[in-house]
Amino acid sequence: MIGSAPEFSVAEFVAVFNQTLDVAFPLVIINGELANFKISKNAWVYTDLKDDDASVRCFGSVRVLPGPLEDGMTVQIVARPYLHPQFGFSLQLQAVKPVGAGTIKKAKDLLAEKLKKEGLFDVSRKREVPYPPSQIALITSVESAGYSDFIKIVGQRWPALNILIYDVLVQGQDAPNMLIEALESANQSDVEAIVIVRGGGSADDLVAFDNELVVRAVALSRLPTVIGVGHERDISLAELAADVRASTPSNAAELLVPDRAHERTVLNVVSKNVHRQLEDKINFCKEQVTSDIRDIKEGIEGILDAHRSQLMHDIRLLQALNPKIMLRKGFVLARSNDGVLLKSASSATKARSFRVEFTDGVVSVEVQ
Amino acid sequence: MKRSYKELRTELDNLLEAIQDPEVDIDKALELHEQAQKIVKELDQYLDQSELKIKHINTK
Repeated sequence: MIGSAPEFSVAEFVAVFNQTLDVAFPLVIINGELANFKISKNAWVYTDLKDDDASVRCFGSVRVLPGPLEDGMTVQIVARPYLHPQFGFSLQLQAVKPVGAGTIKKAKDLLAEKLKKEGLFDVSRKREVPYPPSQIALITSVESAGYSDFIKIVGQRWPALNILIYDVLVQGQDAPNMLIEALESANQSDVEAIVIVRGGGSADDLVAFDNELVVRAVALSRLPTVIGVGHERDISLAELAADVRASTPSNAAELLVPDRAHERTVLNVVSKNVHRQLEDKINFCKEQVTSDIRDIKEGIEGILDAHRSQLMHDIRLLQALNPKIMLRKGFVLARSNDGVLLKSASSATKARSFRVEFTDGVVSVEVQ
Repeated sequence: MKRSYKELRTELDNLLEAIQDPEVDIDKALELHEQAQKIVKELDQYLDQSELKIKHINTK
């Protein structure tokens, strides 16, 4: 037996061993419990993964973590077995996810507490979403019921919308990276808002939306975000970080755009209001003109009345001063033969002969 | 560049408010009314659109 065993130097053995592992087990998936979990320099994670009978050392970048984890949590890891020349055997972590409802919830609670302390869920961070938007990015799986529901409701309510669709996985190991990449790409486009939807599922199905990097990508989005994941009762951390949280994909459509029929009714009312305001103004102007005409008429009539009164007064005065009236009263008019009015006895004597006018005729008079 | 529905709606609301101003004379009111009718026509075009415009971005 010993004679047929291959012989190596230490370095050679490590190299051959790793080559064998690369062929036999390039990646492994292992379920176990975390122990001695530690983060170093905010960059590296060291932990043991154990069960009742064994324990194995794990090492990796913090980027593979879905969020805060702690000893005792049950997780599933994807890792590459590796024998380090100096540090010995370990599993190089490629992905880590909590498993089991209890652990998933615990991990979510830990992450929620951490991000809440950082202010990622603060109401003051929420931005308004254009209402309605002209163009949006929709990040979802086009095979999901959430996509169908959203498109159907938006199509009914507001077809005047351009949609850029980013078809991604919304569950599974690759979902977080795809969601993040889609968010980054959408943020470089000229859409006005980003919508992320997926339908209902188990806690495990929705875990991508509780991934720390996904939640941070949502919080850091340049564009306002609307997220509707799962059912009414499900509230993912990505939804808490979004500008608008929708309870379902259908609700996301309802919050995003108005109902066209209702908007048409409102538009009709506003249009009629504009028309009525103009009519009111025209009628007001007409009334003002009518009133002004009336005032002018009254003014003119007032002036005419005043002139009439004056004229009547002058007529009466003239009549009163009419010499013929004086003659009727018994007065006479004496004129010389050449028509000059004699106003005194001396002028009458001097004239010697003159005419005296009575009301009923003229008499010639000789002065003796 | 085509204006958004929200921009047009806001402008229509502003025109309605302006027409209601008692300081605005009849000539100005007629002008505002004409502008409002043009905007209503543009808004109607938005509401008359019958299909979503969808574009798929290759991600998978």
